[in-house]
Amino acid sequence: MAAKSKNIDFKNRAGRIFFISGGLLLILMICAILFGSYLEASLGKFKEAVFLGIAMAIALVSQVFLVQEMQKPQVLSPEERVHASNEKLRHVLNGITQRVESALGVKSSELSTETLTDALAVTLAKAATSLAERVKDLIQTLQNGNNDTLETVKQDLLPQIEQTADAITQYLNASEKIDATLREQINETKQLLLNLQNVLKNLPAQATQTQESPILTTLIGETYAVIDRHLQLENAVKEQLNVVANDTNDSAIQLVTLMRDLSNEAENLVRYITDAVQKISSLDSGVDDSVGFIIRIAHFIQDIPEKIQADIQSIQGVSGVIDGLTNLVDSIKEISFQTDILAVNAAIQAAHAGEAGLGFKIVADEVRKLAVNSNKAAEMIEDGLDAARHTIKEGLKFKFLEEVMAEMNEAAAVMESVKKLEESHEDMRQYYKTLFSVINNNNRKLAADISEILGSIQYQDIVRQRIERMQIAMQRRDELFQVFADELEASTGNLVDDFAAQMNIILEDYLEEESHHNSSMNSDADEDAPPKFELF
Amino acid sequence: MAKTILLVDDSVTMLMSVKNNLEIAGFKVETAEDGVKALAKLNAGLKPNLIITDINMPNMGGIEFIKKARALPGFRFIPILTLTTEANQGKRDEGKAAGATGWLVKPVGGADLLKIIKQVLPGA
Amino acid sequence: MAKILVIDDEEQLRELLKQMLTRDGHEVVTASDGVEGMRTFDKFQPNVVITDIIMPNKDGIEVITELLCRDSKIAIIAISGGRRAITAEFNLESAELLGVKGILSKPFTRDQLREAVSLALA
Repeated sequence: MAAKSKNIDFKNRAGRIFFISGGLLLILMICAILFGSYLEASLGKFKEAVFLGIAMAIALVSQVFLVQEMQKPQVLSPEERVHASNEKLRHVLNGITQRVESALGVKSSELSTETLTDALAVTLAKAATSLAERVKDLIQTLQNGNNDTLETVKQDLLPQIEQTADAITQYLNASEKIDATLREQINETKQLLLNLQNVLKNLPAQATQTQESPILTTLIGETYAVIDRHLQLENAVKEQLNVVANDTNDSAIQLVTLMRDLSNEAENLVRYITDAVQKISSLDSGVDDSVGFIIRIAHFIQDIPEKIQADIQSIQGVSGVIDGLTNLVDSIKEISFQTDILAVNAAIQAAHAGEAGLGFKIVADEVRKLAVNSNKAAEMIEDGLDAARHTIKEGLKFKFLEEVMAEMNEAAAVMESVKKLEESHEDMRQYYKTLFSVINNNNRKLAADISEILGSIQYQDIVRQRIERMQIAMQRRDELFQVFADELEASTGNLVDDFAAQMNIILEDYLEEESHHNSSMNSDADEDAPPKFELF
Repeated sequence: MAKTILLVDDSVTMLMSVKNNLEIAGFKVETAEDGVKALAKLNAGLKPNLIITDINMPNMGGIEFIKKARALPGFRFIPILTLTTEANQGKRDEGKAAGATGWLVKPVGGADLLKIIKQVLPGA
Repeated sequence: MAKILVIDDEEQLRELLKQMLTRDGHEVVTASDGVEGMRTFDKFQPNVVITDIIMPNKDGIEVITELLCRDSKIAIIAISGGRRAITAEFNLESAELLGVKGILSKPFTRDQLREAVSLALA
């Protein structure tokens, strides 16, 4: 608004003096740029507006002076001219001051993208930690032999990794955003400053020609020096910005690489476990077969006492029959013995009877023969029974052995299956040992990767501090500009002559502070740098 | 028994990443956001086996914190490591004079940090 | 040429490998199980270790895990034929996941061996 009223004011003068229309044209152009910068300012680019405002002020004021010097040198006294120029100056500066103030009021929010990376880095750290816990859980589940292992992996681990990867992508995007914002700001500022510098370069010569405006000359000289230092500061900041951009980029890339490794390892693990689960089932069927054999062994052993019991009973039964027969033989023997005695007595009685007993003696002899024969038969039966008893006994024994032999074949098969069972068990043992070696190894690698990811997140803090140091330098620069603007407004005529020196101090402080901190993550090869780790 | 480490840093990111790393390695970790809060924890009876502190922090920086911690009874020989972006010799000398055991420049990778801790905490 | 340690409990194969590799100009030392293999490794400091998987005393998986824990860059080639339910494929895949440089399924040809050794040395 101030610029507009200035413009009208100037137009009135221009109406009086025709050939300053060239100057008018220039001022119109300046107004257009100023308005553009005002628009930009309202869109959020305030620092540029400050510089542009200052530039415009200087250009405007000098234009006014030049026009006055050239057209009306004889009308106004030097006092009047100074007074008039101071009037103009004050008018312009009112507008500038307002701008500077509004610019300073908002500028601190411009670099607030750091809070974004802050939040993201925290998310990232959380995700990595939770990932580590998932892996721990996974190993725990595997060690407990839970069958849901594979599902656990699929449902928990992989989404976790994806989530972490997402966080990294966001981190990367935020880094790029910071980078782009700062770069854009600096480039635009630099361009504006360069334009201003060009304008100013020509002004001192024109101003000194008139020999009438000491304030303007000081102002221009001082502004020129300030801008020169400012460009240097801007360059220094830009250099650090490159480092910041590279650091966030490298750390994000490192994180992405690590995450890809993690993801690959997890994928390998999942594939491996999938195969493993299938193989376990084939091993299980081997064991199942063996278990079938073992069940048969159990049945066989269970049946043995029963079989022995049955055999014992049948032996006892046969022995009883044989014993009974033996008793019978004894009775036959007894009968034949008594018959023999009877026959002998009968023979004696027959002898006593003489001729009459002759027939009876023949009968007695026959009876005796019968007794002897029956005794012989009894003995033969006895022998036969003994033999039978023996045979039965042996036969039973033999039969039992035969049975045992048959069972022995079964037992051999059983032995074979026991051996198979042992082998299956050995395979299982070997299998699980290998499985756990691999899984533990994978776990170790995952843990190491996660640990490195957590280490990488430290770059976020380094970057944050680097941005903070830039902000401090920019804040100081903005304060200096404020003073500059205030003094311009006051137009006391004694503008502080050390603005450039003060600007230089800001620049040097910044560079000094920056040199105290560690260089970029990529400068490990820096031989002069103090060691990264030192024990006192 | 797990050894306790007190971690002092104003950056949440740092606290989270280092704390998790140390916890995964089996340490018990206490944290504080600046020297004042860390000192308060020590005064309240926390007796860590190791202190790791940042240097540039609001309220109370690392150098002052180390000096004050060293003055507490029973803290003369507890190892104190710095973990900071400050790399220049002047600050190191200040840290050494204040009583720091060692100087670590950020960033320190997970495995490296554990190696260094093993050096100052034998048996950890 | 390289120093190669061959660990295998099968004497015939061990000697065959030694012959093949020696003929290619390598210096070869052998061991008959994992325990002997680890001892020989310390003494001989080979460039490449060729190890069987299924062995008595200390198996190949243990040897690989121990060696790679010490130094993940040690070049190891795993060879295996599998046994009963444990397939060669499973053993070799496990070895690969542990980080060996090469795998050879028994039986393998001389060219396959040569290729694996030169890859491991690369």
